[in-house]
Amino acid sequence: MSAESPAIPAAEHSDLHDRPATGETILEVADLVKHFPIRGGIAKRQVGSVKAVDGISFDLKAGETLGLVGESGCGKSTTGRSIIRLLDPTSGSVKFKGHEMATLPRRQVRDFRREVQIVFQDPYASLNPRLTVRNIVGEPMKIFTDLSTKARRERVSDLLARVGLSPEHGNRFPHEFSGGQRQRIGIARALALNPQMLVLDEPVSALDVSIQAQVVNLLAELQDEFGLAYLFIAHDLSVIRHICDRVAVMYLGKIVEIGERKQIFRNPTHPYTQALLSAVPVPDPRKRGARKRIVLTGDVPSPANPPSGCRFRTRCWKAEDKCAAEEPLLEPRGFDHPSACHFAEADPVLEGTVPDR
Amino acid sequence: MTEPILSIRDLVTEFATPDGTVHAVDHVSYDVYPGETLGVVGESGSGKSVTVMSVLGLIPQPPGKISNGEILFEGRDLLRLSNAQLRKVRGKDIGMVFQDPMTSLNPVLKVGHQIAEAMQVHADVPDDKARLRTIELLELVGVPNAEARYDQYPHEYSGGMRQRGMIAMAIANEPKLLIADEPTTALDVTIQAQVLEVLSKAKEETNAATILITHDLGLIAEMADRVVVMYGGRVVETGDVDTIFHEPRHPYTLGLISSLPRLDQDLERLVPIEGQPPSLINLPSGCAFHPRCHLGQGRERCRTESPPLVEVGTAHRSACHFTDEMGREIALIESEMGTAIEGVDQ
Ligand SMILES: Nc1ncnc2c1ncn2[C@@H]1O[C@H](COP(=O)(O)OP(=O)(O)OP(=O)(O)O)[C@@H](O)[C@H]1O
Ligand SMILES: Nc1ncnc2c1ncn2[C@@H]1O[C@H](COP(=O)(O)OP(=O)(O)O)[C@@H](O)[C@H]1O
Ligand code: SF4
Ligand code: SF4
Ligand SMILES: [Mg+2]
Ligand SMILES: [Mg+2]
Repeated sequence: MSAESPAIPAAEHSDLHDRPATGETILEVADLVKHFPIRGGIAKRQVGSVKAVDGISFDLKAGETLGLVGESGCGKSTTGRSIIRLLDPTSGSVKFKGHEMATLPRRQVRDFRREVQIVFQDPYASLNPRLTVRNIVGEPMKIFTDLSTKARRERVSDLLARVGLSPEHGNRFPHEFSGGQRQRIGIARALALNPQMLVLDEPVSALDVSIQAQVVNLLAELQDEFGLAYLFIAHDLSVIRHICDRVAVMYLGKIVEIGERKQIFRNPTHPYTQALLSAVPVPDPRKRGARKRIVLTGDVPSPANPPSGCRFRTRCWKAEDKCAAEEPLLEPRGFDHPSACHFAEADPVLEGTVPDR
Repeated sequence: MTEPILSIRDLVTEFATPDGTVHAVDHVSYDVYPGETLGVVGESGSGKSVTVMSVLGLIPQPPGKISNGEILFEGRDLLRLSNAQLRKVRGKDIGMVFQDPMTSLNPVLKVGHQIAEAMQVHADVPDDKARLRTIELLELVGVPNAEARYDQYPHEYSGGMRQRGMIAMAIANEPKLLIADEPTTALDVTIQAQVLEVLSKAKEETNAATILITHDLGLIAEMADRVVVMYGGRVVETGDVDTIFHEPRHPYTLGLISSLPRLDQDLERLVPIEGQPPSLINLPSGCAFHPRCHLGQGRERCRTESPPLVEVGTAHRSACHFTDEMGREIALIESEMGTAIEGVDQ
């Protein structure tokens, strides 16, 4: 298996299938919104909406990993699913290699689906329990290509070997595998069509640490080998730091800060990012108390009814009147990366722990 | 050294299942001293919870069976107490906090009521006093509007708040020992930070010894004084927290550390443990870790002889035949990770 000789013939040539050069922007998301209706009353009329994703923008380059991090319910999965069109966005634009998804002809939507694949968090729920591993991994090829049965078989064996499983594993069913192995199966399936981009929705969150490290290393190798772009969704900032080139921090349906890994971890400017970095336990007892402690009060408000102005203001220790009145936009504000805080200021929360290289 | 408040000796707990006997806890011994926080770490299925469930008398029998050992709490063997006697210890001298608060909070009773009742079961406290004390406790654990919250049901609390409610209940009778089994695993990090602060405060208030069970080495590093590392139903290493993180003498402990992505530094590479955790029905022969052990390299002794947990330093024990080779092993892993483990400056 190699990136230069993709085993998958394109049914028809489409520039969506052209391998991009590293560094070329392949995904552009602008003002993406996804609201879920809340229905109530006897008539089941819409009485409100969950503003799961409420106007986010970012782009992703070929070969790059962008981390999407934030706490439960902030809209990470909804973002990922809206991008690959598992959900219909309420509004906004998603462009893949310059093509606007909302207006893409049906045939090209198929092309897009081949190029952008997803791996889910829950290795138990995301694999069809009635199919053998061979059929699970081979299914996308059956749907999207006219490869012969023999060619598919060979490719499945290659893929299984590549993710660290043996060909004999192909004849078994998902329930016979551990969580880490199932995640490898999900990754093999996602790679089957030789895609350009993967949406990885918490691919290692359910795994024990030793297995998590195996899968993290595997993902890094595959990225190098195939020049994949990753949208890596996680709530674990340590994993994000290890794997991502750039990081977007989400809170209640918005991106509050985005930047290169170093910018986010060394010089966070948004209070929420700072609070997150101060809250994650560091596995070194000698660094106890070396960090500034920011303990937020209260819980995350409901996305059905987000606070006015800055959504973080109900938990922010710096909030002032302006924060309730005016929504802070995601802008540079004099720093090297944008922040959605009226009073953004650099605070190297992690200083005092070992500096990075 | 002072006497331990809890002493688990040679505990064996098994479960009969259709596939065979699950050896969930296999001759486990560890001590907990007054006032300390003992961290118990290990991957899922390593027997962490079953050990403390055995302490609490909460093993369903059958299918479970405690077939060996002693659990000395203040000198008394809990395994010899009647259920009625055990109930007096549980919830009074020993408080509990679990991962899922819904397993210990009754969904149809008001939270305040449950806490008050937990007090009244164990002592003769009049209703009005119990109510006042409960509100105090809810305030202590940071439940906002404690008075109004007293009369709410668990489902009206958020996840973090329920966890606080459970901590309030656990410390209501000023226990001498607090057992917290993955108390923050289901919570977001900012909420986890709040709950940990509450746990520390509760501990200060009661000076209870605490067993903190978690799979998160970060939590252990932040909270624990001493550490027990479990693998395959056995204790493989124990020591003080600094020793465990900086001078591990068991390859499994080292593997956990080298698997961890770090918030505080860039690593060249994670160095995972190969393979998968063992089946507790069919534990590997000899050292249960041998099929995954980089140091063992399948050596005869590892495959045939179960290594006993022996002293390898001051208050430091490890169950490995080749602990004397650990220095070299650490150096090797350090070079792969691109960071130092041993001998980091204080
Ligand atoms: N199909 C749906 N109908 C209604 N609300 C939904 C739906 N899917 C998601 N939501 C809501 O949208 C918000 C964002 O959900 P999402 O799953 O994107 O969060 P997340 O950031 O992925 O969280 P987690 O870390 O828990 O996976 C939540 O409030 C969620 O309850
Ligand atoms: N009621 C039960 N019946 C059968 N097996 C059980 C039961 N409770 C626990 N076990 C098994 O005991 C082993 C240890 O479990 P546990 O102590 O819960 O692990 P952990 O270290 O994750 O807390 C596991 O293999 C688990 O499946
Ligand atoms: S805009 Fe105001 S409330 Fe929002 S993060 Fe900044 S200071 Fe806090
Ligand atoms: S006894 Fe052998 S297999 Fe077990 S941990 Fe030590 S070196 Fe590894
Ligand atoms: Mg999600
Ligand atoms: Mg457990």
